[in-house]
Amino acid sequence: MPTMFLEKFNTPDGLGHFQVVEFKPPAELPDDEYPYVLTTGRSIFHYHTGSMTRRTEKLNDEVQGGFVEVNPEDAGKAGVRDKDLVTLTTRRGTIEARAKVTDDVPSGLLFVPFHFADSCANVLTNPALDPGCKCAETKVCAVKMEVKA
Amino acid sequence: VAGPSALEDKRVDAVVAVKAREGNRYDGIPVVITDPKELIETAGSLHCGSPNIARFLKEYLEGATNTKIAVVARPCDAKAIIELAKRNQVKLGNLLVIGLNCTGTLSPARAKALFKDVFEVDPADVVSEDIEGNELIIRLKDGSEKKKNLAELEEKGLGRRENCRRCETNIPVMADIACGKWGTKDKNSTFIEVCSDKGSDLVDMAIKAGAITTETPTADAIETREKKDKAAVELAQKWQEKDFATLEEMDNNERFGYWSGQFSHCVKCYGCRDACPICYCQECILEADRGFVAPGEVPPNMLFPMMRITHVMDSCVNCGQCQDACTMDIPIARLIFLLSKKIGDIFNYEPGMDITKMPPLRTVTDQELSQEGIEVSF
Repeated sequence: MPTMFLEKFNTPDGLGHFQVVEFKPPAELPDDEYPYVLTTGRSIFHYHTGSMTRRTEKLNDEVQGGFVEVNPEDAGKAGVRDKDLVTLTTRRGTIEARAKVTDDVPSGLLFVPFHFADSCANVLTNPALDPGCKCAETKVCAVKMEVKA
Repeated sequence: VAGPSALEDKRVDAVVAVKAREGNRYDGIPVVITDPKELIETAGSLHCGSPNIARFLKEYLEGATNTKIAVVARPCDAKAIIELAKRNQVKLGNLLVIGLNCTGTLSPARAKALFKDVFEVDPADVVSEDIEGNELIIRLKDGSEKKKNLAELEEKGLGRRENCRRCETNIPVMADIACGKWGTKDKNSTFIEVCSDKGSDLVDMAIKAGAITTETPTADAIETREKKDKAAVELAQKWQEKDFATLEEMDNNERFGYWSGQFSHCVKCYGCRDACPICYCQECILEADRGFVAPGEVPPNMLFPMMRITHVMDSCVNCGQCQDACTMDIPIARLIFLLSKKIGDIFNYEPGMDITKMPPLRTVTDQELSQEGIEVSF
C-alpha cells in the first residue's frame, strides 16, 4: 500500500513547501456588553444538523435539544443554575438554550452545539471569513448570557 | 451416506454453524443452514474470530422457541446457551448442542498481525491453526507448517484472546455431544464424548445412516485426552492467577481508583451490553429514557457499568464478548469473570454447567446474604 507524500509532494520540485502564517486575532472578542467567548461544536450523540440523529430515538433520548455549557465560576457570577433556560445574545441575534454547568469549559467561554435548528448556534456566530480560504469564523465571537425571566 | 441426516428426517429444522464469509478465514460468521448440501461449507475450524452463537440464537432465531435447531458451540457458547435457557430466553428442548473442543480463539485483527509480523507469512496463506502441546502451529497453502512457542507469544501479549487464555473448559461436556481431536489417532477422526440422551440418539442415528463409523477409544486414547485437558486447565489457572493478581493486590481505595479510571473512558456505546449473551432485558434500565442513568452524559455515571456487572456476573461464562466489543479497551470481562468466580465460590455455582441449578443471585435468600463471612467487594 503506497503512503501519500512519503516519496514526493505534487509540487514542481517534489518537496513540501511551508508557508509563513501571520497571526490575526479573531474578528470579534469579548467586551463589557458581550463578556464571554462563544464557541460552537458537536455533541457526541448527534451529527451536524441532526437530520438523521435527531430522528433516531436512542440518540434523541440522550440529548433532545440545544444547550450551553457554562463554567461553574461564570454560572455563579451570572446567577445561572444547571438546567436554567438562558438567552444568549450576540450582535447578530438571540437564541434560548438550557444551561449545562460543567468544568468541561474554562471560565470566560461558552460552548453551544450546532445540531439544533430550534436553538440555532449559527444565529449567533460571526459571518467574518478567513481572507484566504473563506472559512467562516464559527469558533469565536462575543456573547452575553441572561437567565430567562 | 445411506440414511437421512438430522436435517433431512426433520429431527432438526435448521443447523446453526460458523463459516468463513466469502472464504475469508478471519471473518467467521454464524449461518443458518436448512439445505444439507450447504453444511460442508462450515467444515474446518476458524480460530481467528469469536462469533456470538448464544446471542445469535436468542436475537435472530427466537431462542429456538418455534424451531428445532442443531447448533455448534464452543464451551463458552454452550454455557451461555444454558444460562440463557435458565432465563427463559432459549428453549433448550428444541436444541441439539454439538459441542466443539476449544483451547481458545484469536481476535481477527491481532491474528493477522501475529501471522504477518511474528510468523512472517501472508495471513491470506494460512489455511489452519492448531495448538499442540506448547506450540501454536499454522499450516500454509503450500502444505508447509510454522510453529512458535505459545507461552512466549502470550507473555508478549500476543496469541489467544484474554478470556480464552484463562478459560478452564476445553471439552464442552454440557453440550449434547463434545467433539474434538484429543484422543484421536489421526486428523480424519474425531473423539466424540456423548453427554446426553439426545446426543446419544444423534450418534446412533448417524451410525445407522452410515454417515460415521465409530470405534471404542482405547484406554491410552482416553488417558491422552485427559492429560491434554489437564495441561490446558493448568495453563488457564496460571493465567487466571496472573490476571486476577494485579486486581486483588490493590487495596479497596486503589481498586476503586483503578476501576473508576477505567470506567471514565466509557463512551456509553452500549457495545458490552449488546454483545453480552446473558443480558436479555427488552427494556434496559440503562437506556437514556428510563430515568436511571442521566441522559447525554459521557462518561456515564458509575451506575452504568455497575448495573451491567451486577445483572450478569452470577452467570458470566467468560466468553469475552463484552471486552471484544469495548471500543475503549476497558478490561471489563476480567472484572466480571473475577466476580463470577468469587460468587461461584460462595454459592458453589459454576455458570453454564448444569441446567437444573439456577444462578445464585436470582435465588439468593436474605438469610444467605446475612451469613457471616460473605463479602463481595469490587
